[in-house]
Amino acid sequence: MNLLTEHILIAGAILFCVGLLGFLTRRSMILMFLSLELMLAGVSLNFIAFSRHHDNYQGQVFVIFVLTIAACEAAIALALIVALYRQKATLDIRSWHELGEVTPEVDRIERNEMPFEHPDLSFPTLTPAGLDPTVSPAPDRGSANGVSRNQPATQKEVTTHA
Amino acid sequence: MNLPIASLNSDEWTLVSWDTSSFLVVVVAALGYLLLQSGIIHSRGRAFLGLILIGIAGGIAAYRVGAHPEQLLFLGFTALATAGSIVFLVFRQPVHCALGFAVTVLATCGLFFLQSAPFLAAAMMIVYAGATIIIFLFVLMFAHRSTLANYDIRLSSPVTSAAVAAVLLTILVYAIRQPDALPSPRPSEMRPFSNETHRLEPSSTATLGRSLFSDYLWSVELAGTLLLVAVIGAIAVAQRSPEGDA
Repeated sequence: MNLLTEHILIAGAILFCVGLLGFLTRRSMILMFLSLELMLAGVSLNFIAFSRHHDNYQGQVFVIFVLTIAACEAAIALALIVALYRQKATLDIRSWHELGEVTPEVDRIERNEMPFEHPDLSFPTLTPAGLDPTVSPAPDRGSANGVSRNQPATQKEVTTHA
Repeated sequence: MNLPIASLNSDEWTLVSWDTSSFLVVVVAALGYLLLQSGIIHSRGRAFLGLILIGIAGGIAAYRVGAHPEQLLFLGFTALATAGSIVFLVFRQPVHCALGFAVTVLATCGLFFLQSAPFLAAAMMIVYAGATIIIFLFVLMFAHRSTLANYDIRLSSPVTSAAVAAVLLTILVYAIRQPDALPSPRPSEMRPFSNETHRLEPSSTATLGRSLFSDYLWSVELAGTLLLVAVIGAIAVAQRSPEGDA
């Protein structure tokens, strides 16, 4: 009994589904890319099986082109991964979920992800306002505007008013 | 003409039983994958249970295929490919995943050899194993740290993904096992150089080359152009901008 075409097709289907599972579950960009290559290997197995089934070389020629496209895809994908890794120093695909806006800090804390440091992500802080009590003399009437940020001063003010 | 109908009926019987058992195999393998991928981080017992489930699924599948001596090589290569892909799926260290991928690709090359495609087996070994080694180096360059990264440990929704893959695999196996799924072998009149009468000759690579460079010459030129464009594009994308801010 010869080896059936169906068996090879089922082996190709297993490879394709494993690649799909890896692509869906993995979060590292490089491993997702490897999963894609696994799916291509399953499809190539199908082509080889049909090439033998029909007893001509069209399937094998098609696999040669699949290999060519896989090589192109490898080059482009690795270049893209390098370019993405330069922007945010991580391979996590989830750091690229939102392509438009910068992800707020709260969302990343909720998703339990490691925060990353990036110079574009420094939020502006308020400059200190009011008079500096150590440099400039305090105003005469102890108005609440000048010393409201100083806790002991307000305490003293409250006690004097009382 | 009674004989084909009778055999068709018996085929239907085997078809039904095969499909229920293949569905069971897929579900058991998916459960084993889920247990294994969480057990490899958390508990060793769960990982062993998952391995046992996957082994049961593989045993049922091998029993259904049958153990003819011609199919032992096929079963061995398929088992090797599946084992490598399971390593690729469940292990968390990227280096181990790359090694599992390499094992899977080599076993697939063995299946290519069984289908009398020696040139493609060699080409696949060179391209995929070479690409794997390059990606392996990239992994080492990027994720060069002693502890595992968070995105390697936590998979994204493994239960839903396993359900999707199991449903797809069940449908594919069901479609392949249909009695009229495979078309009858037919020669191709449009591609005269691709027809092969002496498949098992050692010079089949020469025939493959003749088919490639005569019937598919324009496609070869187009693929070469595509490779050139891809190389230029990869260099342009990966290039650092002159301002230095990438």
